[in-house]
Amino acid sequence: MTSKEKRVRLPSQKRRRELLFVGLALFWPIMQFIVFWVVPNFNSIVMAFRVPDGETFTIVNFQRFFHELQQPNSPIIPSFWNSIILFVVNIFVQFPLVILLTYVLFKKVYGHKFFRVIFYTPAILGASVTTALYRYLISANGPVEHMLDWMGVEYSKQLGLLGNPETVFLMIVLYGFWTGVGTNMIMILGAMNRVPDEIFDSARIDGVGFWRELFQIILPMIWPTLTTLIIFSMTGIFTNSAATMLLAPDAPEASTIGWYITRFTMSAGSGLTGEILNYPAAVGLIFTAISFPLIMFTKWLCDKITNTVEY
Amino acid sequence: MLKKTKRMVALVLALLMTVGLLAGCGTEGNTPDNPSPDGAGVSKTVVIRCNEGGFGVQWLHALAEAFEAAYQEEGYKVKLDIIAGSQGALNEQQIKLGPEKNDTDIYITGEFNVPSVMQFSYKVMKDESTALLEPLDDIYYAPAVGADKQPEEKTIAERFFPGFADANIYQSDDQWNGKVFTMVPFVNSTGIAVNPSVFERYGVKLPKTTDELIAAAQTISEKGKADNVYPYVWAGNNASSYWLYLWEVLFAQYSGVSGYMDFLMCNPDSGDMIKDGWQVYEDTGILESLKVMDELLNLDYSADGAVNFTHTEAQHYLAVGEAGFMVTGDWLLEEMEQDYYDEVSNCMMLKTPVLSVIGTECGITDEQLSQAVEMVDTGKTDADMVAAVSGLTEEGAARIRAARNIYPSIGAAVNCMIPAYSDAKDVAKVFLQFMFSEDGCRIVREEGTALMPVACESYDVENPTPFMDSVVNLMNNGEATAIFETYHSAMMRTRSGLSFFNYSTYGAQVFRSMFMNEEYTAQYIYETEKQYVKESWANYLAYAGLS
Repeated sequence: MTSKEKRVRLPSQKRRRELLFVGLALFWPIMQFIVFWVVPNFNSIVMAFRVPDGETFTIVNFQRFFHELQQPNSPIIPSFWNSIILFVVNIFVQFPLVILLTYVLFKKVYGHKFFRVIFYTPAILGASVTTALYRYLISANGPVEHMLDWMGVEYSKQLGLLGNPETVFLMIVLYGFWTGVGTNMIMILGAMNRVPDEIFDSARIDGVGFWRELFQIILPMIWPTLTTLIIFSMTGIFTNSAATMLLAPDAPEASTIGWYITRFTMSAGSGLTGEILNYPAAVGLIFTAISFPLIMFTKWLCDKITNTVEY
Repeated sequence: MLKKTKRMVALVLALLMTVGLLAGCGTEGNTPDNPSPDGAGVSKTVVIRCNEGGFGVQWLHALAEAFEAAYQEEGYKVKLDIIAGSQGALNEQQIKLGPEKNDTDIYITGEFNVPSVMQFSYKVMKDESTALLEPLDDIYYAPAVGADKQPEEKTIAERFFPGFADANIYQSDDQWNGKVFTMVPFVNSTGIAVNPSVFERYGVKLPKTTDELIAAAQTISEKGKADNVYPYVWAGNNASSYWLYLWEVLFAQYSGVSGYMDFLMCNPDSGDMIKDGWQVYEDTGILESLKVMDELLNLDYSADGAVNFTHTEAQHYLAVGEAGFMVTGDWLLEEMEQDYYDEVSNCMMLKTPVLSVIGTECGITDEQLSQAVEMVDTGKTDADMVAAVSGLTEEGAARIRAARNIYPSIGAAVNCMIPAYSDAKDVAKVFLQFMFSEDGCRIVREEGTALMPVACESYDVENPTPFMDSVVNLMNNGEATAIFETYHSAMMRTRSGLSFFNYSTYGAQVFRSMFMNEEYTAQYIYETEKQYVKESWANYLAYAGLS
């Protein structure tokens, strides 16, 4: 074999090796995707069109949803609105506040390291710890109740804040707010730190102030990160169930669509409500059909709002 | 060089992850120790999968050790596979995997839908006449065999307590009706647990009728207010449905065990479930039992904040004497023994007070009813009761006795079973015979906090704790009848999702809702539920695939 032939074959060998490497590297994630995403999702779609242990195609599970929906005080309606409220609070209250708080920390105000620890802590702690802590804070005769007594605020001691149908969902919203701040803050602070210092130096020379820097420099530059967070929030709109499950699983006033579905799947195999996974599969499919165009529209809207800045 | 090393490391990691993924897809299957299905029943090692429930697992370790010691000559071994939580659905899937991928020989597990698994028999066994679960009739209708390897006098079937014996018989709509594939290992009785110290402190006697129960709640509420002691506590956060354990036994007291069973199975008087199944919701026992719940479920009687207590928090209130009673199960001691062994040992499971309306219908006052119940508890005959309680007929006495001797249980939710393809099924059956023997019962009694639902001499232990004594007392030496809400055969309910209470306004949270909304009276719930199930019956049949 001449040295010229060697030179000709080398790129091909290299390519084969690269293909093998890429193939092997991708094998695991692809398998995982198939086993844990494609198969369960396909199976749940099939289940939605069957009855327990039945082989034939049926739309009875979808009919059941609309039947349940038409009942007086159907739990689906408040669950739907609770899901929407959680999303709206997240996007229109929590997000702006987190952006502002993050910007304050980013500007390294006095004590920013201390505040950073305070805000990050709920995001770092496990859900079981934050839940226990939060439940203790608002429990019967807990610190919050003592504070309310001291302030002279009237509330039902018999029901407690998490037991009262009028306050339980507010408590869940506040919990989501408290635990969500740190996570979003980490993401947004990361995006702000990536903005080149030269831009801030230039802005400072031009006399740009605190608010103008936030709205006209920072926000446009971190917009791709915010878009991702908004889309994430949007995808979770009808799957959000964690806070209800952790804090008030038996309270119908605190239910969300995510929890409405989860309750059925959790009780599968237990006693009387044994084999009704088919119905929650159908409900899941209905809400996927609702949320999918919403997500696509939100993404389109976010892309329209501002041009992506490359840096 | 560095690039090459990085690539190698990446490749090794990718391979490791792949192996990990594939390893996770399989199970041990048949090993040399557990040979192939062709040699079914030849292995000497029994693999037992048991979930760590409220009945604990210490007893199983002790039982396995005693079994191995007894069968040392034969070389029988036990391998335990303890899992957290019931994971019934997971176990169902595992059994369906077949002999190649499943080496478990005995399952002791809860939340397991037997008919659903049996429907996969042909798929797994490839034989129309072989069920996926091993029939246990040969050991069930035979005497148990203890450590001395000698058959005991009575058969296991004869020793099973009423209610549990029925639960062992497979009832479904397929070819295996009437056979025994599962055996209930534990009583798992539920009902009212009381802290007697609270009752003593406020001079209230333990209630024997529902009127006395409500009066007790009222008295403790008034007298205990200053001490922050409440009549009862409950777990509105995650276990508000436990009130069912009280309601269903009150219902069964009024309508009889057969009435309760008809309700559970949706079996109307006409016998035509498809056409008239909804009629079981017309039973007036539902209304009478709901009336008691309506009076009892009052926030003034409940511990402040209990609407959002978890079950553990609620049990804490009971253990430390901040509440007089709560609805729970005999797992209370197992769950709380780490922190409150002494306190809970002195608590007791109360025999469910008899519906006062039964006394009224028998033509006697509530005081007289209480007296009659006392006589049932102290072993007096019906004739003694008729003689002592003026106005009480023999029929009435029998009705009161029957009502007093009903206790609720979730025992039938947990079962022992053997996959038909187990290669150690012969030894597995010997193990079950050992487990249900006098020796097995004694070990379970000594090492655990749960009781087996079979008549055993070992129940008469020296110095039992008041709690365990009360649990034994509930069963009244096998005279009492257990009722369950989780029979295998409640197919209409398991397949359609038809619960006891279904109307959308309150649904499964019916008792929680009764606390929160005055509109939800007994009459309202009875009427709306009756109407709703009647109107929706065709839908429920469709959900179950029965229309």
